[in-house]
Amino acid sequence: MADSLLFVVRQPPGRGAGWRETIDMALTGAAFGVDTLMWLEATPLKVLARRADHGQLLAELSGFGIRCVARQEDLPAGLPGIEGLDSAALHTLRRHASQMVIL
Amino acid sequence: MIKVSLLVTAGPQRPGALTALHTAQAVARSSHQLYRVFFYGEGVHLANRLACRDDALCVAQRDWQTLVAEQRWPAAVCVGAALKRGISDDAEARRAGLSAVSGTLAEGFTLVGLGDWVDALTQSDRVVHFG
Repeated sequence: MADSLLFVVRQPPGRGAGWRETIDMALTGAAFGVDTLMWLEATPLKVLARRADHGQLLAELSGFGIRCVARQEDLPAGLPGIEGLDSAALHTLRRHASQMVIL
Repeated sequence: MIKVSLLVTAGPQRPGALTALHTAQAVARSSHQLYRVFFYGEGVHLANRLACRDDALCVAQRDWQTLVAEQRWPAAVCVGAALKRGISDDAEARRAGLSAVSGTLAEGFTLVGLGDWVDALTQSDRVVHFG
C-alpha cells in the first residue's frame, strides 16, 4: 500500500492537458492524505519560469502539502517553493517512494 | 495473494498500451488479484468504442475492449480525462446536453473520479504505471 508517491513531471503547463492532469492527480492524492512529492524536470521548469502565473501554479501544490523538487542544475532562478537537490538526494527520494508515476 | 492495480496513461499508439494489456492478462491468470485498471491521460482513448477496430494501428484498443468486456476486469476511466477527449457514457452525454448522442465508452469500462485512483493506490499492494 502506497504511503508515498513520487510524480516525475515532464509536461509543461500550457501545452495540452498533461500538466493539468498531473496536478489534478497529485492534488487528489494529497487531499486524501497520500504523502506526495513532485520532481519537476527541466522542460516544465523552463516554461514555469517564463510564466507570470508560476507563483499561483506552485502555490496550488504547496497549499496541499506537496513537496516540489528539481535537479539543482535544472532549477532556474525565481521559482519559489521548489527545492534544488543533487543527484544523490534525488536518487534517495526515488528509492524511498513506494510508488512512482512519470507523466 | 497480492492486489495489483495498473495505471495506464499510454495512448493506443504507444507500446505501453499493449504491455499494460499483457500485464493485466498475466495478473488475471495468476493467483493475484487485479484490483483495478485505471485509465488516465491519453490512455482513456483505449476505452473509446468508436475507434476503428479493424485497423492494425487500433489493435491495442480492440484487444483492451474485447478483454474488458469478456473478462469483466475492473476497468475505470477517469471521467475528467475522458470528457476532454470526447469519451462519455450515456449519462454523461445527457448531462452535457448531448441527448441525441449515445455514449462512446466501450462495454465494461466505467467512468470514475480521481478518488478511485487514490483508492487503487491505497488499497493495492502494487501499482504499475504504463505510460
